[in-house]
Amino acid sequence: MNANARAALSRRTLLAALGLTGAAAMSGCAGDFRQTAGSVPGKYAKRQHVVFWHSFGGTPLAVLTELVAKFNDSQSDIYVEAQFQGSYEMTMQKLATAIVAKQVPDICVLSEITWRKIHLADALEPYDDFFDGDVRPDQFIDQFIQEGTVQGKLWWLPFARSTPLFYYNKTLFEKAGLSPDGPESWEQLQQWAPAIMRQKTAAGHPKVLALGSTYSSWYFQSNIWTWGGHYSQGLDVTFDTRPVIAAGQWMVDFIRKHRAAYLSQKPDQDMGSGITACYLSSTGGLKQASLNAEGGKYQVGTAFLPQHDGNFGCPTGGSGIGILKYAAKSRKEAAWQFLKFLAQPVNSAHWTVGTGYLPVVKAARQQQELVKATKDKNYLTALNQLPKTQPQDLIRLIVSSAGDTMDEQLTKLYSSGASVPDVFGRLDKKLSSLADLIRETYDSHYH
Amino acid sequence: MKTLGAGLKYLGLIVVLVLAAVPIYWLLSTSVTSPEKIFQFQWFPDGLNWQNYVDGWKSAPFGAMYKNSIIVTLAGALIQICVAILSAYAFAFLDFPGKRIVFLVFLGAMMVPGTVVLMPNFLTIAALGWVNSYAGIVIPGVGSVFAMFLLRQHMLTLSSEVTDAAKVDGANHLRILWHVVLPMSRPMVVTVIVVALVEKWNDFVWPLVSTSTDSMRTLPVGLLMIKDAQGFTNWGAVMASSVFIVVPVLIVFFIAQRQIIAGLTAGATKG
Repeated sequence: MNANARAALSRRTLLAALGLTGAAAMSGCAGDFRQTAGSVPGKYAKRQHVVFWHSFGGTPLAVLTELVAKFNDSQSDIYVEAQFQGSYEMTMQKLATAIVAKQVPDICVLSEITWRKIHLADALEPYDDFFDGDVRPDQFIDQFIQEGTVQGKLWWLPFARSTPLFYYNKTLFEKAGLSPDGPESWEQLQQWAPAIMRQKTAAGHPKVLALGSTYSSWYFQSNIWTWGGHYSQGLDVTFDTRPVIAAGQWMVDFIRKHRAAYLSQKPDQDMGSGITACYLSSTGGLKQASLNAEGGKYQVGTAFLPQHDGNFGCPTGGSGIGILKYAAKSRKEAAWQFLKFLAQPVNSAHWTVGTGYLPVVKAARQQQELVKATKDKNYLTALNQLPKTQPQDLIRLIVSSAGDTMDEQLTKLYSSGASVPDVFGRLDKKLSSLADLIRETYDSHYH
Repeated sequence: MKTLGAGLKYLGLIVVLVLAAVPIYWLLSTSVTSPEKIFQFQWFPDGLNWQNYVDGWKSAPFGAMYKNSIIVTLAGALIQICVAILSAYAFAFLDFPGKRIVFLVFLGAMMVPGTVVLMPNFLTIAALGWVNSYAGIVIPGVGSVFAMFLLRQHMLTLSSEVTDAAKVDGANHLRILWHVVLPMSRPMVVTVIVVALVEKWNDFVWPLVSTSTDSMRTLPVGLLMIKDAQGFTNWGAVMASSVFIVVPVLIVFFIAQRQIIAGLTAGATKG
């Protein structure tokens, strides 16, 4: 079997992993592909039509709609149509299906997990040739560019990036005689636990920390790093190593021995009703946290993620935008004009202030709108933590359903009497066998 | 003793009523609760915050979505019931070669989860040029084995004397179906229609996948557009929108309630 045939076969494997069983290898030139269905209002009929798939609902949807309208009215050649496609996962599924059906959008929002799968399927266009005098990679936050770069090419432009943040009930901390700035380390939080649990709230005595099941492996990545471990090195899973087990054991003891932490359906809600004093959530969760605090009549505080032995670790998350390789050249170039527009500091700042996502362009920090927003100290925490963040270990990002599998097992640890070495040992085996499925494709794309 | 039994019966009924009604009450009460109070436990909202309804209605193009939902629900349910009635009649009253095998294959199709056919269905409508059209949303969902099976089982209970008599009178199959079988199957047909209506009305994944533009989307997709996966979700607006999505279904149910109960309990009592 020659290398081309092998690559085609592994692409097929990957497509199968994406849920595209029996899909033909994705060969063919852009000429075979059409733009997906859309609608253009009459007054824009003569323009180059760009279809932009995204996954934003709620407030981000409103801000995005505003930005797209602003772009469409700022020039007379291009009409960008933003089409909502459901969650990140649904968007990826639909994109994969659209590629097989050969009716594709031109640009698509992809999460930190989904872009790697589309990249492995060879469906993304690298950005390097698009950059020009106006917009260059060094204008974006370095970590984000680094994360979207594979083999020296940039495949994924940062857009709606976030990190985890430590949220706590400031009023309760002050009442307990603890620092209003939150804990510096996990050990300190453990020392403070009895004082916190002695306090009275509407729900009785609060617990210290509510652990959510959604994306728990994203939050736990921080614990793993601060304990000196990794989920994986490249594609080699290291769940079964001592620092990873130690990090897991600490959290399990915090739950079972100290009875200070617990698994929660809705951590943010629990703080609002006084069931917990702290929880971890995304930077985008600040608005909800502030509203809950208003309802529960307390002050909410945000802090860096806790350290361990002087080590700090915080992963990045959220989404960016990929350009589809199969889109016609004229549409790709038109799409790039829109992406340049989004990268203007004033627009980046507006998106950030409106949604709670981090500013992905360095110069956005100096924008009036963002400067005003950072008067809220809680808002500043995420921005100050940003330079200290790093991309997650690869296994969670690249292996099909790895994140879900890890979340499931962590949830099991948080809510049962299962032993850490057992659970992590089994997880290690399972992830390793999943990793083997894509090893060949990975090697051909990453080395 | 008798009154005690009756009392227990009523107590049981009240418990079931509370279990069924509390979630609906919760939906209504949350839909008028102000955002900062959403997560505070309270039996009664501390005011009527109608702003949620305004916010909900404005979060997505619900006007167009209402129209789309009504069109695809009515068209989908109507075609589905026609197909189901005709195929049920064929399986109940006709003899054709391979009938048993075909029937078993149909039943086998019931075991296939919908997600498995999502992709082939999408490729089919893409090849037909039906992406982002009513035909694309409706047609792949018109074959319901469940509806056919329910109707067939019911038709098998009809006494053959009636259909034989019609045959002797020289009626062809369509006449027999229309004048004899259908009038006797009315409760079951209504049940199947209502199930189809609710199913199409609530269908979410297929209308999302088979359409691209907001102008073609249905109500459940609109509900998703109010939620922000990573940050702040205005739950009051979500609940308010849920209310105006649920209301039509409740109305249909109350209108057809008697027929449904008759259909579901048919054959359960000795008549």
